[in-house]
Amino acid sequence: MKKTMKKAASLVLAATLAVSPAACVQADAEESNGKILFLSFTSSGPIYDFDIAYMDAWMSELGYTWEMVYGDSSNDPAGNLAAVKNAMTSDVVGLIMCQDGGVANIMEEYPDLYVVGSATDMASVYDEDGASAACADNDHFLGSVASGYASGVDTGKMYAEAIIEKGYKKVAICMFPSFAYPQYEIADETLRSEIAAYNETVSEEEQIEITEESTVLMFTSLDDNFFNEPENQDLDAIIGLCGGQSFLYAPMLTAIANGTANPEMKLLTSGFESDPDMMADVCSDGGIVQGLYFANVENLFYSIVMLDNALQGTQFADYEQSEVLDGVMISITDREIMETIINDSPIVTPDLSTLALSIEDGKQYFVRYNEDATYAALLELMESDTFTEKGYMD
Amino acid sequence: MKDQKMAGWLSRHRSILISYGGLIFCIAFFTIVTPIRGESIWSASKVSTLISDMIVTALMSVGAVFIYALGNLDISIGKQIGLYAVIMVVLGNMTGSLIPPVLLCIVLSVLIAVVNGGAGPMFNIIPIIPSVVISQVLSGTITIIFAKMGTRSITLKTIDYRIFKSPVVMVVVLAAEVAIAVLLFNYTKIGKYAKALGQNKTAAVQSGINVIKYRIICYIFAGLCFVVAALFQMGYTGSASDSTGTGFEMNIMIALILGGMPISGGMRSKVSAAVVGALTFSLLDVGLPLIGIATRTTFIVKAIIFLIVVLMTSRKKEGTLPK
Amino acid sequence: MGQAVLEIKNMHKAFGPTIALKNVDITLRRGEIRGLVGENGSGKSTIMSIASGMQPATSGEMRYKGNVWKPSSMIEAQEAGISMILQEANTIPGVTVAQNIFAGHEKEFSKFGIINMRKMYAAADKLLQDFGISHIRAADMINKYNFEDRKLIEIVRCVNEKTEILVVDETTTALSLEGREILYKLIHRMAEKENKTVVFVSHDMDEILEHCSVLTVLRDGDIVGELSREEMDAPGAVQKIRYLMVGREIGEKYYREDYDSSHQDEVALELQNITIGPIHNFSLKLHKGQIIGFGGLSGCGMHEIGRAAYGIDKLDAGKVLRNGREIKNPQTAIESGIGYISKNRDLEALILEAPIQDNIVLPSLPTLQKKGIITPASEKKMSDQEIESFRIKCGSGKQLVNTLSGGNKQKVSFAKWEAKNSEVIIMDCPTRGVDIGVKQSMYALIEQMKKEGKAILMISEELSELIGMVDELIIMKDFQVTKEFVRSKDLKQTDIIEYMI
Repeated sequence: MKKTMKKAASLVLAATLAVSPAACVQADAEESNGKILFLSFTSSGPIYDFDIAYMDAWMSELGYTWEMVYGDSSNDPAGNLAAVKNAMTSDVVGLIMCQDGGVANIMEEYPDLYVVGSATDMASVYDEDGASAACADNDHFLGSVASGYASGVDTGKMYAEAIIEKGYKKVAICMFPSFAYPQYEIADETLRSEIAAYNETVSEEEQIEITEESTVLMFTSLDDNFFNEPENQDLDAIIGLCGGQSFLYAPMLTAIANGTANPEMKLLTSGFESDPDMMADVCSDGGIVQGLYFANVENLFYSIVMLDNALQGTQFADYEQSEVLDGVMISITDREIMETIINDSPIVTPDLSTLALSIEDGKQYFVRYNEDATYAALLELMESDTFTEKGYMD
Repeated sequence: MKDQKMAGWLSRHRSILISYGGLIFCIAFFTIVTPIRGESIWSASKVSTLISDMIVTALMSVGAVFIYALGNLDISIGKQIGLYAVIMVVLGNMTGSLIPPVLLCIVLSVLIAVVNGGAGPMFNIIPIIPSVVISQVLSGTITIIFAKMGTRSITLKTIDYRIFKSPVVMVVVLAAEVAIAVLLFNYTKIGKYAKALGQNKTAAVQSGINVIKYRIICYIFAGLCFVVAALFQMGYTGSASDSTGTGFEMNIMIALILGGMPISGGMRSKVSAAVVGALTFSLLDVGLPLIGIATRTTFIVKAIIFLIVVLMTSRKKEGTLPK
Repeated sequence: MGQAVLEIKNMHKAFGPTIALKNVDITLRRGEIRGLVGENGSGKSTIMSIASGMQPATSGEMRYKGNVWKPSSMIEAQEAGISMILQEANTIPGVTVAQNIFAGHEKEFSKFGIINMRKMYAAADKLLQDFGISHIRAADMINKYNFEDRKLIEIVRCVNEKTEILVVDETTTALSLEGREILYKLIHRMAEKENKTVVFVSHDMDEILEHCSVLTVLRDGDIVGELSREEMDAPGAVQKIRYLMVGREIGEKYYREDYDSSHQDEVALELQNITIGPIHNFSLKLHKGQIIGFGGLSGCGMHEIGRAAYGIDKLDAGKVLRNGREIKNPQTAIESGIGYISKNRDLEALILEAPIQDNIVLPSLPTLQKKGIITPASEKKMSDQEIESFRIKCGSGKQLVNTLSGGNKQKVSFAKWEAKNSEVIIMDCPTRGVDIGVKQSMYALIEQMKKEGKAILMISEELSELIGMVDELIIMKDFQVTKEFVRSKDLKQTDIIEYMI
């Protein structure tokens, strides 16, 4: 009995080791422009699925092979560096990073590697005291698109406008710790000062109250005790400077059901979850989530263009210096937008026929396809409504 | 008669044979297969990747052998590494030298060792409990430090830490640590008592072994190894983050088991298990992507190999988990 | 000679490379109490475990009541009339005595699937009465009874009117004195009145000689002799049997032959008014060159005194002193030259999974180290010396202790303290589970130690060895000393037993 088990075990081992390389030979067979590593910090979810489908499409179009590499889930520099080092083979030419930990170390280790960010504000690069500040001037570093507004000021203004528009009179703020997301602290301050300024302009009964202290979520759900505080029992809304659907929605639902919170309480937050129940709630009548703001997954397009131009030696004539762009935001503020996102966008299901910018239309931004392509045109695209919710609405 | 002896020898040394066999198999396999795919695992850059991938786990595991030999499990190792790395960066930046922070880390490691090693027998609780408590205290401390600094990762500013990135230095330090560990483990009371305590505490006590004293000594040696490991962990990127060290205790457990360490400690414990296991694991880390296995699949392959080793080495009698 | 009931021919049993039985022939007859003796590993238990269905033979043939006999389980054998009382405890905890007795036979008391418990209790009580067991009640939970009583319950369960052959395998060591009497009565009744067959497997020579009608001696899986009742009664029979068992002349000498109970004046170990658990205010002075023995039933408190003297258990009051130093734990005890051989050899005295060498040198490591370093050569030297002087049967000191026989294991636990050169040895059941040959050498060793001026505390459940070896014998009962005897030619077991129970 034991012997057979051992035999079976060694067979499995032998088979695994023998089959895997054989299976991969095919992929490498065609002529390649080199391999691109995609450093992800998740290994599941709608964004992850989209990234894979989008990368597959563009990489085969552009003639690269590519591989998903898993960085440290807490953005630890050493963990990210180790992940890249272990996956490194001689044909790797480019790296797309979805987080910034260890960028400088990676670029120091592999000086010939082109690196571009995606869905990260690259805070450690663009902060003068940041650990990777040296990268900002490195010509192999090609900038990034943030996973929202690059500046917390814009985020704060966005939420302030939403609160005023929705007419909430008493709100609380819940946020991720500022040591992990420094921009959220700025957003928090901005939101408060914007509302204070608004209160100056209106009569007393129209003034908006924001509860004294923002609640910090240490990457765990909001504690049920939050609603036992007297000041939190009649809230009109919570502003979630965090992945609110994961960390706030469920506790709010429970509190409303238990009668400890205002039954009409709403949530304005960022991030996107593809859970069917949560999607059904967003901006529905009586739904808790009445405003959902997140960066479009298609922002990855920018990073791919920047990387390909650099790798092909066909940099834009008008490109000078790497920079971090605001991620183009999708703002879901009514049910119709939500339905469109569900049915006519690649965000929930990675169906590339629903892209706001198809592969074919995207080619004009690459110098290799269009000699007249400019960086200014690319920036214009990233400032246009193409990647906003409006891009899917027609 | 000879066959019988042979069979006996084989069964006694089975776990060691399997672990060395695993290592030799990995070396042979990757030596043959990786060049076919275009890039040898023995290229200079890959060897240096291999060494830097294994160094921290190897340094920690060598120390952890002294804890595992006792039949114990230390949950707090990862957080210890995390705290030491933070101290090295913060205090290093403040003083401009790594010596004061390293000294502070040594003091802390001794204190932690006294609690981790002593609290179990002193208060008659299973030894994993103090390590869980320590782990939580350290975790909280690290969070507070980073929250106070308003960042998730901090970097050495003025100190040149390149020495810790040199593969030669890594190998020399590891060799020195292994030499000291082998000496203590095989040629002094410390190791012999640790094994006896791990195998049969009652018999060990009746043979005159001072349980608390030798447990603490074992934990102190392990703690010093963790400080050395933290130095290289920090030196890898010259930085520390709030997740530095997270889960390292699991890497140690995997390395030691892959290396043929009996999971319940005791007489068959071996220092070599630490190096063999860490090296095997790193070979897989570095080798599997080279033969074209996607990163996602390498997790599964590693898990399967680990499972096979556990199935082959752990017998029912010795299958008790460390405490 | 009675009619043959079980014939065994060419029975061979191998466990891997180890041969337990070598083509053994034996015939059991009605009306006999057949003794089976032999050293550990001689195969005496193996024969009957095969006949009673516990394990199959590798080859050979059995005929039971004239038919080919190949039991596939103990239950099948029991149904057919061959019952074996095992060495290990075998009762079902958490249910009543009656349920234990009738386990597997509940149907006899059930109607429409409901068991009539009252009927079962009555039947069980009657059965217990028939066996002469008056202190056990069928309706009680089994957990209420101690190990010895449970063994009796097992006997009641095994034996019924269908039983043709009863195998008693080393059972008496697990029984109280009254229990033994009950068992003896039972086997005599079965053999002599009911013309059934009893097979009596035992270590205890006195018991065998007293009760068996015919005796078979085994050695290394072979039958080496068969003695009739007359031969057993002949003078020198004990020596003859021992010779057969061991396979060599072990000489006349077994226990000490002198009756000199003198010792040196110097006190080697002193227990001053110690109180520990139920033991109150116990004092004792052990002198150099003196052997003090402790006797009594297992739970009488003598084992606790041994542990206390070695500093294992914390004292509630009082002191243990050696040369003016207070012994507070095994460590100080060892440093003061005290050694301790636990009754629980495999769990406490030895590290079974460790090599012989590691076990022998373990207490001596502090003296072996030079500048903190212990060289393998110094360990080997010390251990080889002891292996040699104790004649431990092994390939080398690297061999694991768990591969050794009971006697050789015990030699290793003695060797630990010999190597350490301990001057006071506390030995708790030093010859438990040890063969006669080894026992004899242990006794010689203990006598030698006394001559060297060592002080010995000998705790034992075997009265004969206490009488044979000690200078002063302390008998305990219920945690109190009931009697003290001084070494004498005239001291008999029967004089002592009354103070034990």
